[in-house]
Amino acid sequence: MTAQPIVKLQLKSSLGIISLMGEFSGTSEDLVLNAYKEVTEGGATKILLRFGDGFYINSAGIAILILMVSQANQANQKLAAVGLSPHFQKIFRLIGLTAYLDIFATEEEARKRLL
Amino acid sequence: MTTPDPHEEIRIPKSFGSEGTASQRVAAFAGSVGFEADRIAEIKTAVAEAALNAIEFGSTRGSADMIIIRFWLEEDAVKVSVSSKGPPFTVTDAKPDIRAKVEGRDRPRGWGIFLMKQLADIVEFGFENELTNVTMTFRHRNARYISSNA
Repeated sequence: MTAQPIVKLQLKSSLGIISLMGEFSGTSEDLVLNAYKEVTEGGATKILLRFGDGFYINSAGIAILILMVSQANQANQKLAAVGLSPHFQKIFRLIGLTAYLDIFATEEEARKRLL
Repeated sequence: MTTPDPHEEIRIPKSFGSEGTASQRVAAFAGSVGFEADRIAEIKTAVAEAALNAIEFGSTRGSADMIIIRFWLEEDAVKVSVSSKGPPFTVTDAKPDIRAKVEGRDRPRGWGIFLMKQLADIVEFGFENELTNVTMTFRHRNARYISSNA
């Protein structure tokens, strides 16, 4: 049984935090892009993607992240990620997402870099 | 008399979500024959991508057709074969261009075969008797497990 994807949002001044948990695939498009839209409309100029326990993504889900990155790029928003497993850090590097999304070991480091 | 190496075959429906079942079964098999967690994660992703490909690009009968997944141990490697009715693969060696995708000049999809090739040691594509097939070889990184037939 697949774990349903869950997205939670926080907005702290100009920092939008999008937490992603569970399994993301091609059916997660509305979930992810609506979350991005909400933090952006709330004024976020910096976005932290917080990947939680049990996070899994396939290539169709990665395409959705690319769509989000594309929109963030056009909006000149800074992106950072934390909580990715070593496996998905490797996947993100292979795909080249790390050119658009800095990956950090801790949230503290990510926030410092985003400021 | 040598004992046969472990092997299994499963059939999954061509419906989204089935790829998770397939990848978890193969991952469990890899774990049972001594593969370590990081390599198992790679196998899981690659197998899910192969199954997802079969679901998305397979025959138009949808879930009426099944995807056949065979996996077995061969010396120091787990081999996985994913077969289904559908057109042959169109394989290119070119890496998908992330920049073109982020800039909107290309569709964001198209990473499945690339990931299979990056995560497996060998990927072979075939088409026979109306069945399209991909066979992936995942070598044990530490090669500590040796087939009982070696």
